[in-house]
Amino acid sequence: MAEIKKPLDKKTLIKSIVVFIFFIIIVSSTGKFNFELLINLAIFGFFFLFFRPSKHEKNLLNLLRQKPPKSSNPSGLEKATDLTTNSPAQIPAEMFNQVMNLLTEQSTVKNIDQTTVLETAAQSPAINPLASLVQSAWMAGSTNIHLSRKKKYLQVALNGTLDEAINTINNLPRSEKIIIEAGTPLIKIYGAQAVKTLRQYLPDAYIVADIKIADLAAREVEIFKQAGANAITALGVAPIETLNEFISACKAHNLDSMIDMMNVSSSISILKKLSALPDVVILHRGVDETESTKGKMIPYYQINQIKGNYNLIVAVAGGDTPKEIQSAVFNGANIVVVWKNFQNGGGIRALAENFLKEIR
Amino acid sequence: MILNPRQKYLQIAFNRSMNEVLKMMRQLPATDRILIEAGTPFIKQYGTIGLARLVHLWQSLNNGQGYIVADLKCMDRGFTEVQAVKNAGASAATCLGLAPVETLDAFIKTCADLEIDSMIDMLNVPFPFEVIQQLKKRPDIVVLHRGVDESLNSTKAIPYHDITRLKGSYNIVISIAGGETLRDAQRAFFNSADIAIVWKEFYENPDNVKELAEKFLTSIKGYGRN
Repeated sequence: MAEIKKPLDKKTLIKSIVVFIFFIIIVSSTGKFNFELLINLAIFGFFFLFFRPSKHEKNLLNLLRQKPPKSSNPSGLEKATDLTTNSPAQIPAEMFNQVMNLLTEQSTVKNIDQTTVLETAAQSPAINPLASLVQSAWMAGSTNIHLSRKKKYLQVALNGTLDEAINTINNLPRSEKIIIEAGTPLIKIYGAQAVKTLRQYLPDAYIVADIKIADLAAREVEIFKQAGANAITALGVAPIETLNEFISACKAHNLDSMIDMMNVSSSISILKKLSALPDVVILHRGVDETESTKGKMIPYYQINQIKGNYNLIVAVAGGDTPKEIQSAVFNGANIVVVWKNFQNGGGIRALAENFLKEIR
Repeated sequence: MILNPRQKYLQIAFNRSMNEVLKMMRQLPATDRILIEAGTPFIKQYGTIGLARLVHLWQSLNNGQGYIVADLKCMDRGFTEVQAVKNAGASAATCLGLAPVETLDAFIKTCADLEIDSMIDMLNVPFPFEVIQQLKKRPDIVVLHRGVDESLNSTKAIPYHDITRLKGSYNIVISIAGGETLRDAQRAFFNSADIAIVWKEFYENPDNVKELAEKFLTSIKGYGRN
């Protein structure tokens, strides 16, 4: 979370002067220059000035607590919850502008695209249309999270049905080190709605849409940006033109680009051909490969090969046991992708908690 | 196999939004020569629910004889995805020729078990013949493909030369993707392809679908039975 900076108004100026006078009185009364006291006071003053809830945040909280206005403008408000129309929500313009101003003035949420906010608000079923508007605005803002190269992440791939996926989410501990992945089968069955639903459940999470782009990159990136994804995957075996198009589309939409190196013998040779680098490279052993052929290994040796040449985040997929996760991290992987453990119900919570405890 | 290997077909890929696609499909002439493809972006956007709507419309227009291709582009875990599109009512599913051989084998086997046609999409595969050679069982249809993003690069051509190479060794149905004009479709059939896939002109002119379909259907005349 970034530090919130605000210009000093009159009240805070007076308060800081009072604190300063108080400090001088203490110093003069003891007669000695007491360093401990000075430091304590400085810390207190700092917190007092910078970490109070701001006026905007207070207003926003009040807005959320409000009940929906009853039949003041029924036609407009009901349309916001109507699932059948794909047109942007008919939320009164004043209310919309009020919410947008409040949100954009906070430093954590920036560059909100107002049309996507309206579209997502129109499609999200909520009892309180205002709450759904605020939520979808947060959603638009939360797609601006990016991964850090210095941290280790656990990426949990959700496949199967949407109910199972939500069940798994409820079992996961809340941490910024856990990445949620909407798996390829999930997306092909439920469409972009799968990502939208996950985003509604987890407004602050980092969500990867594993759509494995092989062609028509720009179009698919746009669909999943609107659905609320933070990162999108493409196949390393796809044509180079597609990958270039994919990376530039992701940059334009402020998303992280991930290239899945499944069935690629040399990832470095693909990276060399690209006109711009992706954000993440995924080294991958497929599920079908694992089940039918015993000999195929996860290409751990490629991790340092890639990291030595490029400043990239490397993810490893295909291992499921705690031991394989450990060896992936030990070999320098930033992200470990798991999927199998929770297909049978249990196990994922213990795995995730273990990961958070052991690996920093 | 559901398709007749002795006939020529025109496959139209749809990638617009749901309402537009349904509107476009209603304009099409009812004939078994036209195969409908739900494009990859379409499936990723609307899922199998969207696919089921296309199936329902096309079957009702064609007295239950319509043929719908789900352009899944499987790369892994073919079983789950094929099962899902079969339940939605698709007649064929595609898998990438770039996928591991294990995935391709599993995909072809699943398709055979579920009685739908298996299509292997040879996008960005330099030697399609070698991929087919490695498989335990051959697929029903091979799609020779130049990607849409690739077509910006003028040095890459549509691989017509692979058609006779494959047909010489295997009794297999070949479809050609990546062409956009009537001339491209004629060229595909002249080079003894069985299916020509078109999408761009339909994508750009959603209102003249009927005329376009009739125009493209003329390219089939004179080939195959009929």
